[in-house]
Amino acid sequence: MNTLFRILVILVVTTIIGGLMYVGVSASGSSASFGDFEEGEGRPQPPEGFEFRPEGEDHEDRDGDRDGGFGFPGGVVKALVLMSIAGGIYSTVVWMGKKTKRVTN
Amino acid sequence: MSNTNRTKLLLDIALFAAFLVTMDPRFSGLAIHEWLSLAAAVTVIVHLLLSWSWIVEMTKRIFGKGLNGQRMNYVLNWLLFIDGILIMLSGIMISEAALPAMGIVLPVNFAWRRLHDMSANLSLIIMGLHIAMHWNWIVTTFKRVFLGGNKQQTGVMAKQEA
Repeated sequence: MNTLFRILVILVVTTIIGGLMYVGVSASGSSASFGDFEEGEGRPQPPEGFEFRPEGEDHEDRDGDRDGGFGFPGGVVKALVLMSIAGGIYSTVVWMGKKTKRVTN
Repeated sequence: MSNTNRTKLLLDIALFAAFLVTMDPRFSGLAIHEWLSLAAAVTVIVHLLLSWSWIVEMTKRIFGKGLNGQRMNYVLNWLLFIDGILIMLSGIMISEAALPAMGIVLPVNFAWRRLHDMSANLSLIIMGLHIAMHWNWIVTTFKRVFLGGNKQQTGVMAKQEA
């Protein structure tokens, strides 16, 4: 019963935060929204000059990577490197703080 | 070592592996990317349930004195949670495999695509900090579970970290 209540709390908080985000994005004037997808019309295209893929133009088309290739996992390496840098900076700051405290004492 | 710590570690390893795989949809393919993300979201709920007592305790004492490290950890966890919600919500809004497979087709809004990329990149930094803050717990619990480390030492350290 306790667990169910806790799950409910998590879901309610998630729904509130997600709902606020949805309202924010929907109300935002910067969003490029399109109507419902209708069969036979094909996939709606972004407006001309709208760059919705900030990684750059050398990336494959989203439809082209639908099946995956299990080739070189560049994204995984990028994730590991970025996380290591963030964690490394944090550890260095903490280590330097402790060292300074020790010297001061 | 308590079973909770063991379960937490195994769950966290699985979550981390899923997180890495979902970070590269071109590697895994869109279908795996989407379904794995949805499964990971459910796993995050279990992760939160296992840390529930800490969450409740910190929420009560967040404005108390002498909790600087813990407070930063608490705020960072909230940021990770909010960013996770944004990743999931934007991912659902631009879903091309999981939702259509369930017969749900949402209107296209390219702002969600941009938000999905931005929040995913931000999550890498927050996740890096999250792991760094729990590094001692990860190492001691890992040694205890997989390498049979010193029971007394790791038990005390794991208790401190949890």
